[in-house]
Amino acid sequence: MLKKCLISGLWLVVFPFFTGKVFSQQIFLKEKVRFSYLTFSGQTIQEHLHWLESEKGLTISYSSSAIDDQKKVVIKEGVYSIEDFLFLVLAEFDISLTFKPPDKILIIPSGPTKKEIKYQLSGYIKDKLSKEVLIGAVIESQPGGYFAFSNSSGYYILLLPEGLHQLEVNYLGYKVLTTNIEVNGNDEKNFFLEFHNELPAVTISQERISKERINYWNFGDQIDAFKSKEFKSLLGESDPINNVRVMPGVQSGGEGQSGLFVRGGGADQNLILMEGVPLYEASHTVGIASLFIEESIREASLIKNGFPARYGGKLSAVMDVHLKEGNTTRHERTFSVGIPGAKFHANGPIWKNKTTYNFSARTSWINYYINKFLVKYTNYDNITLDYRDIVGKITHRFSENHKISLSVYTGGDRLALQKTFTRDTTNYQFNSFDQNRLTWSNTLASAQWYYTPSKKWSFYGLAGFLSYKHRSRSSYTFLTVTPGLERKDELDIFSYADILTGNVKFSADYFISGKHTLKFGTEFIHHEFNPVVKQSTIILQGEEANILDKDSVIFANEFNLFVEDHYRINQSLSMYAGVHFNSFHPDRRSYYSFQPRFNLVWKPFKNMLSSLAVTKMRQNIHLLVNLGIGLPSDLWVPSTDKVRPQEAWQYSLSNSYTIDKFHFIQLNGFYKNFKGLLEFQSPVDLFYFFINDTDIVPVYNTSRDWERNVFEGSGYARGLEFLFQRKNKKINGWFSATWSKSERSFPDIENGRPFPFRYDRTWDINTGLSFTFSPSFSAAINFVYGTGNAFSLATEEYSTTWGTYVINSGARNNQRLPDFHQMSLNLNYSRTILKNGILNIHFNVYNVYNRLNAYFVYIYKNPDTSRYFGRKVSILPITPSLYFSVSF
Amino acid sequence: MRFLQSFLVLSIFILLTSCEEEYVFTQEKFVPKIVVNSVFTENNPFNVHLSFSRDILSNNNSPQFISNAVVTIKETATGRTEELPYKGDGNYSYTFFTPKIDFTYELTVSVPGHKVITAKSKVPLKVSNVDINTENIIHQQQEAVKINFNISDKNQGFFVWNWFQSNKQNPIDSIGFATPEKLLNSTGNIRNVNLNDNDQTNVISKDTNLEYNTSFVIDGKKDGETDPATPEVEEFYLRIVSLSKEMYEFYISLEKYIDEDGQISSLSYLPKVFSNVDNGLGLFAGYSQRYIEVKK
Repeated sequence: MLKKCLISGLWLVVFPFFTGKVFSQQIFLKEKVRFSYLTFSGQTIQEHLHWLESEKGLTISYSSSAIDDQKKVVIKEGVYSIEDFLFLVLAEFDISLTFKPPDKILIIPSGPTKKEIKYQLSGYIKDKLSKEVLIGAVIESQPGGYFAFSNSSGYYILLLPEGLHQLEVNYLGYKVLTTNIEVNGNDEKNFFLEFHNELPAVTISQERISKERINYWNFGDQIDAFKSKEFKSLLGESDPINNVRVMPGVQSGGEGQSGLFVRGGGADQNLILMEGVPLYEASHTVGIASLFIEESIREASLIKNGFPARYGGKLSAVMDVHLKEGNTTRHERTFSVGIPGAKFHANGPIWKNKTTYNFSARTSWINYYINKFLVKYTNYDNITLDYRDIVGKITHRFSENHKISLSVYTGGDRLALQKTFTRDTTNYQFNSFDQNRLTWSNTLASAQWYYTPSKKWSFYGLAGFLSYKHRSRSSYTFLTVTPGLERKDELDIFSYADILTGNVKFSADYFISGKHTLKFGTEFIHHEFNPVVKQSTIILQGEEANILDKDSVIFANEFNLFVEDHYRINQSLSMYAGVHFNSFHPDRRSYYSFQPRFNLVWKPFKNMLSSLAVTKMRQNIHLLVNLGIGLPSDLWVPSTDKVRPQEAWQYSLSNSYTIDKFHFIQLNGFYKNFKGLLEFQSPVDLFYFFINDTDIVPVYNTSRDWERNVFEGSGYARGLEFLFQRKNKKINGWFSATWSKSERSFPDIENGRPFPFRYDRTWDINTGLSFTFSPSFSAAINFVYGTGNAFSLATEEYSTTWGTYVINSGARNNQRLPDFHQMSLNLNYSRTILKNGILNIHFNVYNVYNRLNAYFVYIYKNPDTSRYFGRKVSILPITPSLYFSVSF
Repeated sequence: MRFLQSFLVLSIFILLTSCEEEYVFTQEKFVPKIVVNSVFTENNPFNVHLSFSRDILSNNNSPQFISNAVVTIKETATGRTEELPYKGDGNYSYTFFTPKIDFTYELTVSVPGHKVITAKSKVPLKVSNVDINTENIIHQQQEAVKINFNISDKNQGFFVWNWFQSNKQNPIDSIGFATPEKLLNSTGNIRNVNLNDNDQTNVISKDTNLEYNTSFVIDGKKDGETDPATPEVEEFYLRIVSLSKEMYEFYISLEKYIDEDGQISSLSYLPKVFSNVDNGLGLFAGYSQRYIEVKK
């Protein structure tokens, strides 16, 4: 009873207050106001609200984080209640109004605005057949243009507003997957894409082929290097090193060059990663092939600007190559045989859907044919040229979100040239015998761990190891016979570079929201360098390894930290920002660098994408190339207390436009400046202190002599790049052109006067067409043109004080080699054999019109007439090759 | 199969016909430069040799001497200026104008149709403070003499040293007054003198606070043991040449040039030989020298 009385009493007290408050609010909000543009001149919500405040003498309060008051609205003139006027002005927002006597109105969001209600769609994007994850696939909603990329685990998170969406999932080389999805809450969905360049029997499809991923991935700056099968290397194989050369800003360096030269950078300035482990050499001799076997690669991409903060250590480009994990459900095997050699590839499940393998091996046997013809057609008595590659990977999946993989690679090259020379006159006989041997090898191991424990987190771990051995030896024996005198001279030159590298890396992706993806991580790298150059005036006997200086090993440790944030500012503007911190500790000094990376991407409408990138990169390791006596001696050396690291800032602007579903153009501009570049004083300086002219005991140099034989300088590169591509089922074509200028400047060379970089190419053009005549027959043609490389030509002779004549070297790199151009043709034929087997025949002709491009030129003095002549040496004339491969 | 065999043979045939052919360089019209050659030391008259440089790819093989130049040398401290008359074969000299130690000289050459050539150099002081001592050692199981010397001159920066031997048939006088032509050869040989494995042969130093200390070994054998035509060595001399900076730079660059053996190709850079001649090529440089007998 008492309880009832208390409740009734309380009700009697509260009710009048409550109803009175509501009543007064209703009355106030119903007050009329005349809205007219005679008394109002603003446009934004804020201006409308201020007008109302001044008209009615009230205060309106709201949260600017909930209401975008800078939005423009248009209200029709008329008489409105305060309440109606506010709802009209704030029509886009879901709000409620509260009146606070005597004169205050609170605008309260009644929930998230409709535009802010987004749900998370997440999952994996995979290959339909092998079930391997696809890295960097693009998922995009239409309409709306919401998009996301799959990360290194193949995982994506896409935020979408509530409603019906059409999703397109793109991955270069795969058919576009289009599907409708109703979004009304957070959801998980995996997508499985079908490879469009499948075996001919199954490629008939009405679906259009994928757009170039260059449109999207990494804001238009990353290039897929692998999926373009119309590009072939010298001997008819498809490999990523060769493929990326079709892109503007990327060139091969010329005849017989195996490296990549990206935007004015050197071949040593590219970070080439295989399974996360950096390589020092990625191509076989004279560019015959890269060490990557086509069938074993899942993904290879090249970044030439806007470098993500997770990469560091090189200045000009990043090529990241991932091996296939292997088909989870069935075995795939390919056996190929051709003139260059043979290769075998297999992948498949060890434990279905859990453990897979990928194995490839390649060997060259071109050497077996060479010797027969060499004696007849060249000056060499004997030549040995071969290479080999073996690569394997095992992946185990604990679950869809958790897996590990172990990868190994071993491979190398062997090149040997042997030549004798005899000059025999009445009173003079001269015999020389040269032996030049070059070998190098890579042994790589990598363990990788992927774990995605939740929708917010994804982890990656890596432990890698690399052993790189580069050995060059040139031995010369000279026998001079004159009346009464017989003299024998010997010269033995060694160049060894043994490098051991171990790296451990950990990184994490944190999906803060649909707008924010944070990636951060750390890496520790241990280096051991043993660069050795030796010379002896007698030819040494015994094992070469025993001649190595064990005490010349240089140890260096490197520590990296990085953070990168991909922030989507709004529907058309994205920003990528990151920092890469590097500390490098060679034996006697430490270097620290802070490298900002920034990339702003603007997508004003669906077909257009522009980006502005500014990045700083640092390189702690240098490649010293001595082009003097004998074979090239490539020495990788670390920065030391005397030689500082190299640095480069790059500023890049790119604009991509997709004309229609078949045509695409891109225009880029860049400027790059370099510091800390190294240049040998002159080619023979490496041996300068050790040229002896009598037969005394062998003299060796030490490994640190290179430090005093190099100059340090700076340089810059700038250029414009243009790319046009056509992609459809029957005819694909491309035209890429680069105009660029790259110069170097060294205070100790010509008083710092800038001179062209050796690989400076004013023009570099790569164009081609590929035709698919039928599901079983296709052809491609490729034309390459480039301005000749710069070199120093000296032809001015004068006498010196001591009567000898010398050649005045003139300006450095004052002359150009002849322009380089060649056309290659590629034919592919496929047919089904047996039950499930496919036979592929690849016929490739390099340098169709037999252009004798210059490998190098030199001036020759005829000893009989003392006249000088120019000579040009070409090494790659028209070169056909044939490959058969059987897949089953 | 026959097709395949034919294809292989054809392919390899084509592949291996890598070739080398004549190549004509396209370059701008060659404009010859005036080349000056003049090294000078005390009490020897100035001699300036003038010629034109030439394009080695042209058909003209013969050197072109300059006979119509006006050559003057000025002694900067005194202002004395003399014109050197032409003596033939590109040589200009004046008997009554000889350089002095520690004096600087300026060269001016005017040739019609060419820019005026100028150059400047100095005759450096002779080396003065040299301490020498010897010790008998066993080197490679043979008796030998090790010679240590110390140059402590504070006011000179550039030296070349080597040693000379003399005998009755080849007295010191015959090679002792080595002309500059001998300089390069002599210093080239001294590298082989350094048989001490742990010692670095520093032929030249540009350290102005020179405290140079090195050693070399004189083989105790008689020259006649290896060549009966050569008589016994009787005297040893240490020769020390003081170089002007210009001569030092020239010498160093010429050694590098010679080491490269004049290879000219697009794969290499040819070292540049130093020149102090403005608007031309060549060298105008002074030096002085001293011989010190080494007592075994």
